[in-house]
Amino acid sequence: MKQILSVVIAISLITISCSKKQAPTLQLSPHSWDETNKYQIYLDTALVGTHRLIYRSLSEPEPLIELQSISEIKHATAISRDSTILLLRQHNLKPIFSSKTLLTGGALMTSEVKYNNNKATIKAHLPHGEKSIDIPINANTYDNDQITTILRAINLNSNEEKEITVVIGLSGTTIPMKIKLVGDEKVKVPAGEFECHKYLLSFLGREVYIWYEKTSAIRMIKYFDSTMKMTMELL
Amino acid sequence: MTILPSLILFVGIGIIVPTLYWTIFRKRSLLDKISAWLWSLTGFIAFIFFPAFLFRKHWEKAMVIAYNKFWFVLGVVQMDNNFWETLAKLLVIIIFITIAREDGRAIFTSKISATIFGYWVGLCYGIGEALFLSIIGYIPVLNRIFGINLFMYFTTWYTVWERAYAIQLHAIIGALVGLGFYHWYGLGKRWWLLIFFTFGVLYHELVDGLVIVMMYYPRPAFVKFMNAHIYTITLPVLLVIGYLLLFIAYRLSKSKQKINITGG
Repeated sequence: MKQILSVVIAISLITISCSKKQAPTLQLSPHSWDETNKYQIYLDTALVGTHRLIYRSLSEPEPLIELQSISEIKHATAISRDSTILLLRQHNLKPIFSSKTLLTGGALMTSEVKYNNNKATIKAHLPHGEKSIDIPINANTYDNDQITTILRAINLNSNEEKEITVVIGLSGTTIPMKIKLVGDEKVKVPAGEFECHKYLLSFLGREVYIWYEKTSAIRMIKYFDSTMKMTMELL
Repeated sequence: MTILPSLILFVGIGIIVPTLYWTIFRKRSLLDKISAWLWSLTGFIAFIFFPAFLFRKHWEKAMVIAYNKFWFVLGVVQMDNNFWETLAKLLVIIIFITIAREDGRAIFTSKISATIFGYWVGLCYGIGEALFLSIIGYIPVLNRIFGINLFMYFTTWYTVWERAYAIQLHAIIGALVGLGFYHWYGLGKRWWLLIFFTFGVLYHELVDGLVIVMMYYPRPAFVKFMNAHIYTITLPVLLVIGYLLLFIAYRLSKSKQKINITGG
């Protein structure tokens, strides 16, 4: 009886200690962070706009990366402009602050997100008014506009999948996102031909494929949103 | 919250619409047996059942996150939503019958009374939805409590217009459930309550399912058209379809007098 009891206690203790473990954080290997990459955007086969990713290293008050992302899409009579500035910590790419401005369909929306250890404070200016909210975050939470940057530094084995949480400032919410390395491919874009890692991002039913070059620069070469039929290619 | 649309929503839709409805229909057929306080109590229960049943959004959200495929969201998650929203209306009527006893049951022996009272229950549930969505949109921290995201929801003229349709959609579902109770108490066909309950669920699916189609397949021309004219064409057409279904269901339901004559 004592033996059975001790086995039960041992199993319970193992179970409890296992359940307390947090999901492992992403393994990031930061690279150099001073460059500008420009992309052209297609909807189906129609060229509709451009996207720029600008990285800048900052050393004060700590090693940081300033990431600017600017997209402009002209489709039919509508013009959409999306501009974001993000501050990330260099050693782990954790977000500190993001500021986003979105002009779409004649409506202007802005959001600011301040990241702390366990919460993100969101303030949004939406077409009909202002909203603010604090949302809980964890060690695997990142900003929506840095996702392609995480892929720049992530280490995944083939077919390995990680789940992260993504903050979307304008929606005042977080969503789960899965990242999977689905294989290697050679990709041809206006900037040339590149050997790439191919990643799959899955979130809320959408699937986005992203190709990252395998060489030391590790730039995003191509992006394909299968739901929106939107493609971005490095220029 | 913008002031004038909010005023219209809370006073116009929240108070004037149900008051007018009660004033017009309280004397129809057997409904004069129901006291004003019982009308109010039933309406209030239906109203409060919206937030009471809203916690289902936690597991519906979890289901969407776990398996976000069009067919699953349309056929399982949305059907779960339809089921609970129709069940809420059914439970309100059961509570009413329990409180009102003989008079309550008597209401559902008349086709017209059962339909009008069912419509009243659905109407008040829809008003509860309209007002609570506005409140949750205004106080974003409530999003997490109820498991929904209304961070971008504001009470504007568009939402007032949309809610004016939505409360009628709920009212139609309530009327269908009411007709189901008529089949139980008036015609002695208990299983028909289940059939009318299912009609209510499926009508709900038609309306919300169309929105899900728009979300997952935004590119086809007919979806773009429906999306671009959602307030002026899509919603009115769905409402007309609802009233048409209710009219057909009402006309096809045998009236009790006819049964007596045939039976005699």
